Amino acid sequence: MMEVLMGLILRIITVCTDALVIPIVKRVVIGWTRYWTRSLPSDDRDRYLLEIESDLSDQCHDDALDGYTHEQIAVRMLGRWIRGIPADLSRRHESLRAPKQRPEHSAEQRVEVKSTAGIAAEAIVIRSSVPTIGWEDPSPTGGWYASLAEHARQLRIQAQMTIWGTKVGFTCTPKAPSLVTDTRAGTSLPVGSPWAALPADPAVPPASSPEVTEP
Amino acid sequence: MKRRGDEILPIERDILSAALKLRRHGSREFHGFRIAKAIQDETGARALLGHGTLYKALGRLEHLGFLTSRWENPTIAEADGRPRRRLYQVSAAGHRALAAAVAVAKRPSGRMIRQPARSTR
Repeated sequence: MMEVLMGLILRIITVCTDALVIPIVKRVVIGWTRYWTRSLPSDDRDRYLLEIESDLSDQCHDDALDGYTHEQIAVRMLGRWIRGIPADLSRRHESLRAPKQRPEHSAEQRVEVKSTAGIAAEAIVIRSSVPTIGWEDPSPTGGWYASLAEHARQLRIQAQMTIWGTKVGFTCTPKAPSLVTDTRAGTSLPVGSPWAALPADPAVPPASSPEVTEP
Repeated sequence: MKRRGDEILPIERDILSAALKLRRHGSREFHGFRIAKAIQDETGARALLGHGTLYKALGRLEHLGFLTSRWENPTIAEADGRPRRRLYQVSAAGHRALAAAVAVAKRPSGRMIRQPARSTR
């Protein structure tokens, strides 16, 4: 009777330990990953952690299908963890060193670049549709200028571009609308909404960039 | 191991080679553990690659443009009851780099032939 009871207790302990060994190893590996990725950029850190979690889960599943016991799986996981530690440390060293080499951009600069890129894309779309709609659009404040002007004003953009031979200049500040001058045509367009798009004359070679002047 | 520029380490060559083998078997994308197993099968190694070794090499290959990666669709991972995987794919540059690395490995010396420096005069 006593032997049966002891056997039962031992069996319960073995089963419990066996079931717990993998979660314990997973916690160790993830804990290590949290440790070595501390103070790294949060994007990199999240990525490393998620990749390790996914890897451990996949290994657990695949090894179980291959017939490994829980203990064997745990030992295999620990082996992979230990073998990878030098690479983790080296990676941390590289990651901490890398940001100092990257140029830092302020939030304003990033917004400006994105906004300018957006405007450029719109201008390209409009320029490509010119053959179908023509340049007869009379008013810089009307027609297809309008949406761009409004968009540019909202984004507070100041930029000059030459897109496929068409000089496009615009200055947008909410408080001080500007004039855009095409030096080639000698005209000055008051931009009621502070925007102008000056089409290139195919017969005339491109000249210098439009000058943006304050009113 | 020290390396120069775009030089590929043996482990990175193994990754690219195993990835292309998986691709030939119909898997365009692979995740970390899958490639570790594929490398073990291909090289006949006793143990799987260490976590740190594997993901550092994958990161470097991606940084060099030889691999591209994306997160798996979360609904697929949820349906399978596991964490999301990072899925990698060999780029065209990766194909070329592997071909070059294999060519170098086949040379008797096994060393990269460096282009002579251009004269500045």
